[in-house]
Amino acid sequence: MSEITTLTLTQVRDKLAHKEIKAAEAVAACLARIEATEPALKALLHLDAQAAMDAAKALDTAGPQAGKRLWGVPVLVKDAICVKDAPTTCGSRILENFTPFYDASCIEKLREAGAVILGKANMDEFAMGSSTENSAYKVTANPWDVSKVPGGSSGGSAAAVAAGQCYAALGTDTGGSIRQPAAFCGTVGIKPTYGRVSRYGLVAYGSSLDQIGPLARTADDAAAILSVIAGHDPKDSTSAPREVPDFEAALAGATDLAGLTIGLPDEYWGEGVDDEVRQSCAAAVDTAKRLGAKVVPVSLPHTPYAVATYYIVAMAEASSNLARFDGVRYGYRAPEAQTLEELYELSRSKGFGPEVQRRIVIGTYVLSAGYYDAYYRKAAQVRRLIRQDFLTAFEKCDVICGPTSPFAAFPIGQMTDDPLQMYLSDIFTISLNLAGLPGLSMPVGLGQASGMPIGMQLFGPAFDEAAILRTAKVLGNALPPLPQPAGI
Amino acid sequence: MTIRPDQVAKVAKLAKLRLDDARLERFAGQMDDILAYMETLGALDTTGVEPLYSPVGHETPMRQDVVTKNCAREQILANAPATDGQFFYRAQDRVIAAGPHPAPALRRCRRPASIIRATAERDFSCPRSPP
Repeated sequence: MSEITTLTLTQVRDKLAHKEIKAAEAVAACLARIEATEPALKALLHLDAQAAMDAAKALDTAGPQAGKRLWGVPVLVKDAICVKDAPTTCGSRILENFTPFYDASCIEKLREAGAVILGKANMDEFAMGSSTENSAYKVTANPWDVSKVPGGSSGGSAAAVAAGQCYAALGTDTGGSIRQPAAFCGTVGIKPTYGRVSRYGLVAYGSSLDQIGPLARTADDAAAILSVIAGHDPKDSTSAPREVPDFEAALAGATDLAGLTIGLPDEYWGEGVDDEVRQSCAAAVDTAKRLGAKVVPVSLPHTPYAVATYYIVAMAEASSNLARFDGVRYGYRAPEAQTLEELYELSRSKGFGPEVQRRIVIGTYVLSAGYYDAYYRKAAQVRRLIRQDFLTAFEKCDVICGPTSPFAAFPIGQMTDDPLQMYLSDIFTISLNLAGLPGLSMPVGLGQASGMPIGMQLFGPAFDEAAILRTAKVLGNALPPLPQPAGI
Repeated sequence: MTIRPDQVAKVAKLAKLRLDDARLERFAGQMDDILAYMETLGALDTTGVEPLYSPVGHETPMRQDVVTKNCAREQILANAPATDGQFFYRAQDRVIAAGPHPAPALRRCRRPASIIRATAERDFSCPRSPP
């Protein structure tokens, strides 16, 4: 790997700003890295090398500008987010040739900040999955061991960042889809508070759960991206009318955790967590204590109901959101359809993969007459109880901490026959989306048994991304750094 | 509970999906497991708990009801599977067989372009971005 691509985002941004390297060089280095690693990694669905180089050269001609916080930095974007004049497939055949004519709001912001968009990253189809094995196009490999999954649904984004193909990537998180692949690939990944980042231009999966967020190699890098993409957007009515703090400034100079109280929920540190995960996370908590943090036990008692609640809500919302894919205005249309009914049924049935169809069917079922109260309304009630658990816990602590996943990255193909088993593996990430609170995953070491990265989560109160980013930065700096991924 | 393939087929029809017998069978078994798991929520007492459908903390923002043009017809039609340059599909591209539904009436109420009777000169606003 060239020296340039092993730098962090903040390091390369600095060199770019001081003209030590040109934007064209940074982009060329990433493109070379992509060319070298893509055959094994398969992280990308679309790469526009020419457009990226053109953008970089235009930036170099104009020169670095102080106000552009990501000037010259090459990034990738998960394929659920609309990038103008580039394909946006959501990992599905039903949108195989769909090319949006507009940029998502977060993309407009990245461009205004001077970032260079290299291409689109692979994902589970319509963000439904935890391994990127549900992509209709390809299965992305984990750069630490190509026989293992990178996690999902933002697997392409996570793998690309870990492998040095880019300095940061945008992912989306509906039930853990930024945090879990970040954990599996040894990167930082943050899901902001619901409403912190505009969803305009994000193809919706679960509208009350979805958030866009960055995956990057360090907390400082993630803060740099989040500072740019966050903010109120009149085009998204769920976008919070709130000022965005300067996250980078909030992290500047942070060297210890004195004054911080970390809550450890009983339900996240008990049974069902692999030994190597528990070991690495417990060691990280010990380091946090040495840095001055106080640690207290807390409880999130409705955790056992979180997976069932999430899947009812998410599948119901998905069944509604995916109704728009009907072969009429965009996407795949079955050519053999005779009647209008056939047009809808055949286009959808041939265009959507099996996991998507399964979730649409279950979502339709739980919303149907006679079942709505028993499933959807009930789940919404439990959702309030889950959110209340967090609010109560935050009366006793500043941040909450627990493993991201019960286990490290598993072999490709291991879980594909049992959808329920795959859903249950989301147990630690899912509650956060139901509650709408911010959370991140940070790497805390390599598992003793598997040698694969282990991720630990930090959750914060609403709109307090600064607290969890700051904690992740200080803790991350105190832990031994991860080596470069060994698998590619 | 045991979900039968014919029940799955009924729900699939509502969702405008057509599943073959093998998939109906497989989904029925999987749905059994998944729904049984979801039913564990039934054991929880939620009397008096107000449902939380969205974590949004603010009131829905309002704006003036004025048209803001932000896209052109060509852009909207660019991704269409078939178009006559004005609307999303041409009648002659589709053969409407005499099915159980009266095709012309259905076409009128379902055709998206009928909502927007635009002329060649006038551009129309994009559909409002849904929450």
